[in-house]
Amino acid sequence: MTHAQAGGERRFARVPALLISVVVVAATMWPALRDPPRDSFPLSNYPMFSAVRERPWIHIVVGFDADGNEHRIGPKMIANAEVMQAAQTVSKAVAYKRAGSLCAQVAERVAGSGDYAQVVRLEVQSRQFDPRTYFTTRDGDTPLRQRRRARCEVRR
Amino acid sequence: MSAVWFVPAPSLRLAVVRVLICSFAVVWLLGFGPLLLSGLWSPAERFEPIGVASLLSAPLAPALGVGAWLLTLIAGIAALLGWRFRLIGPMFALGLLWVTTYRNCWGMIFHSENLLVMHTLILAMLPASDAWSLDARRASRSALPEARSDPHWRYGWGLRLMAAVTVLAYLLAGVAKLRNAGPAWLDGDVLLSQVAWDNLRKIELGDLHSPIGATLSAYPAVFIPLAWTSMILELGAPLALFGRRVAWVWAVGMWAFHVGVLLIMAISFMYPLSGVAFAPLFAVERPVEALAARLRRRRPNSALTRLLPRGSEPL
Repeated sequence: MTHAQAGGERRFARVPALLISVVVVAATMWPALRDPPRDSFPLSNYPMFSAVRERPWIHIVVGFDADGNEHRIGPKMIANAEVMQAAQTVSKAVAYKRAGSLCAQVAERVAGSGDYAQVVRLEVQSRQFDPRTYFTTRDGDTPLRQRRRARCEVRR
Repeated sequence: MSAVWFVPAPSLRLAVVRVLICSFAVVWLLGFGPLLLSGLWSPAERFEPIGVASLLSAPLAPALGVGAWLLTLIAGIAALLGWRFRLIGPMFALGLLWVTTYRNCWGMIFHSENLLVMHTLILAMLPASDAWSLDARRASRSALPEARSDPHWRYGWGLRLMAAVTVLAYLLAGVAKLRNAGPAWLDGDVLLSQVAWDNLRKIELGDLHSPIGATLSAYPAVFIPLAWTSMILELGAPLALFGRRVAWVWAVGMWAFHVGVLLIMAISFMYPLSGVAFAPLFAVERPVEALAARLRRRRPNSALTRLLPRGSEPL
């Protein structure tokens, strides 16, 4: 084989590798180039930690005992051990007007859990906080505003 | 282009990257197994398919999900060992793509496994079992082993592509911050509110939060250098492709960034934290060769010594 033939063969062999490279790089950048950018998986525009949060609302499930004391209901009761998954589950339930259905589902799990034996009812709530003052002022963890989205009993 | 992209690399380098990525993926599949499997029983109304799962209009039967996870785990172990990699590598990559995508179909898109999946998909297209593998051992025993030059660009281009995908992910994260918050992101206030918001959300949702992040919320000045550093690391990520020394500085900086995120937000991006995400940027075969040489001198007959490679020779 001559040098020219070897060179030509080498260049030809590189074409598929080059094509694959161009396609993968373009696909990686595609979600960010779209208008508006689109988050998906595994191709993403990686929007985490980029949003400006002034005084955001958080959507949670709160438990109450017979005396009216509040008990925080953990992510496992709402979705699974992943807190972000639980947060999204409550947010979507509120957004899609399914808070009542979520409340009933969580109540069923709470009824079967020994950790929440004193909880007799649940509420799906939206609470507004200022993240800048939540940890830095004495009453920062008191909601600025609060709305009840659903309420249900825990039946045992 | 040739000098930048088709850089010759030893087959062992690609093989070490295969071992690192597949090891991480197998450990991830096992560690996240309970979470992945419990998610299969989520109520159908929460199903929001994305990516390759967009083909589905309703969740799969949980038994199919369990089967996909188990087959992917088995394929992952085979890919790690480099057994029939030309067939098993793509099977494993597609299985991992499916399992991780399905996990993201319940309302929350996580960003912690994107690079792992992209790297695995690229790896599946490469001759990653030409060294340190059962395939290589079988080839060396055959009567007519295939003659291959080593180092060669066929072992280098895929590593460049994986490295490019890694730096692009960080570049896009930096661009998203500038696009969504503008230059205000650099004054530290947006970062402070993100850290405080994430921690308060965990408290309100009854989960563990980071006391360090909560304490730092009282010191806004701290977040200005943190914001600048993270932005420089993210927007400067492509520079890591142009020189190993820059790559070292960048990778260590990015790793420290993820340690910071873990400490102040209790969010773990395990793939970059493990260092495996940055492996395609480096000559990762050298520490393996050094370890193998050292063990051969000290314990020539140990099982671990036999498992480690001899230069670019087979398993």
